[in-house]
Amino acid sequence: MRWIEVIHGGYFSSVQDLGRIGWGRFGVPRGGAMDEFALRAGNRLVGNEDEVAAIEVGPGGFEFRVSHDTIIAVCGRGFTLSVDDQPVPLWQSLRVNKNQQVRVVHGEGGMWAIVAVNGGISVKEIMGSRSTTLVGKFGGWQGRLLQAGDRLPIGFARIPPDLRMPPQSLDEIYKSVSPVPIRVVKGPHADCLPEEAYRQFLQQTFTLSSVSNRTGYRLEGEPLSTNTSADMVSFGMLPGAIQLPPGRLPIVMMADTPPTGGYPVIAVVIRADLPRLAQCEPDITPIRFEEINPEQARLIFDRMMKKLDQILVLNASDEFWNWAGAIK
Amino acid sequence: MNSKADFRIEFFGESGLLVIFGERIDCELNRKVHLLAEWLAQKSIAGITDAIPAYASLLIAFDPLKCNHDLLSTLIEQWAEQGEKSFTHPGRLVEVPVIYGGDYGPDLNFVAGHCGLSVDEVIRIHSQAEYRVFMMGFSPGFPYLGGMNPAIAAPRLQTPRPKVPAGSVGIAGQQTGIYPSESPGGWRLIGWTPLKLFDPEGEPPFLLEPGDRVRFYPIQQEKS
Repeated sequence: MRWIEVIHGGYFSSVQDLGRIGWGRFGVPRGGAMDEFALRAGNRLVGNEDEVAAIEVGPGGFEFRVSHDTIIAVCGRGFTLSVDDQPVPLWQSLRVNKNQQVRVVHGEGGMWAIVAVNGGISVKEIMGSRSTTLVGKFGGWQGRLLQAGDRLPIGFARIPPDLRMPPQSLDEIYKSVSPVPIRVVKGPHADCLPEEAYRQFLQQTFTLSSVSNRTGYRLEGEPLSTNTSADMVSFGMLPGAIQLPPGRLPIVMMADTPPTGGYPVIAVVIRADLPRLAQCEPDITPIRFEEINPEQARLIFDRMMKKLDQILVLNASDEFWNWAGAIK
Repeated sequence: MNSKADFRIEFFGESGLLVIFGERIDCELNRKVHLLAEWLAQKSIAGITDAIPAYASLLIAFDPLKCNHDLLSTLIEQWAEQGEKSFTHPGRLVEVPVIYGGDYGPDLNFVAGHCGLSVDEVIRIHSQAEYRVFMMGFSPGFPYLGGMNPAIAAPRLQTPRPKVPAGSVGIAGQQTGIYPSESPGGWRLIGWTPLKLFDPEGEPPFLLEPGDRVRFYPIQQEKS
């Protein structure tokens, strides 16, 4: 049995994959990694398929060891990484040996990291996914956040564990300018809003409230000048939807959003920018929204996926292997 | 008759499309939602990842690299032109046993008082109708059931209960519903069903589906 043992669970670490697709009509949140790009990149760097489960680490960090020599990768923003106290880079394919202690430490500049392991975290699949649904207390590891002492099974990899070479600029999607521009497509209920209020939404610089979580990111700033209290009957909801509740400060629905909601959706964050938004820090990162059209959004998502295709299997050059394996 | 004027199609990001039939809770509007959902399911269109029916709208989520708004809009308009002939089954009928009142339905007396009816009349009216699962939400597997007789409508609790047991049957406004798992909740509880509505590891995990028909029937608590 191959496993990964949690030495320190942090506060928000959980098993996540690309989410529970297709169960929204039963009221099941999609869930999945907050940072889809980090998950896909991490999986590819260790030779997994994109949809394989990994460990999502939040503020609070994470520490673990593995039962066998293997390949791991840690992708995300705002974290540092060490193997047996030797600093190593994120966004890299790394060899770790049995029982080496890997520490993922949260610092500044981001919120979530993905720990991917060759073979993936092989907890029981529930409704087609291994993601943890905290609201329903199912999926992932016993339906809960990870704690010290948990031993999660690691699956057997279809692809042999070679090191993989990321392009230099793999994490360029996060390159930050301030305020961070998050691109959106106009929402289905934008027309319920006076034009002036919508303009205010696009011109304003927001920050995230500290009560933000995997379900939703609350924006802080000037409430939008509208007294439209659109009385809407519930409709379907997706991650990225920006709802305007009666407090007139928008909420961006994130990975764990319930699949229905009832406040007007004024805009929807494009899929390729959800990882960047997910990484914004409450009270710190200034955020601005920029409207684009759905076709542009599709092209940007396509570009993001093609970026991942630049991750190459390394022709196990001894030099690189030795470098990566030098951590003793 | 369906016609183009019956609904509007809105972008929901690059990966979604919201088909809006109206802005109210209404059996006829909801029927159209399920008609379209079922028609789309039968077409099994590549790239569709989710189709979430709600009271009066259907949210279609898709992989933007495999499907797109134009293709879906065209299909939906095609559906509208074909009309309802494509509707093949009227939804399964699921019968749900309920122990009404007592500890199982702590608000049954309130509902009776509020509606000026006897407890037995409330039970009779509640178990007489055939309901439709308008949509699911709130928590996994929670069915919002439409078609309740307005004579037994009752307002939500002012302060929701922190813990409502799984299986509780409640009333809120003109709707009735069943709590599939223990959760906080503000519906007026009139009874409880021993049926399991949601089992994450079950095959299938859910007793009910959106579009299903539901009928309640009263049972007595077994004497121990």
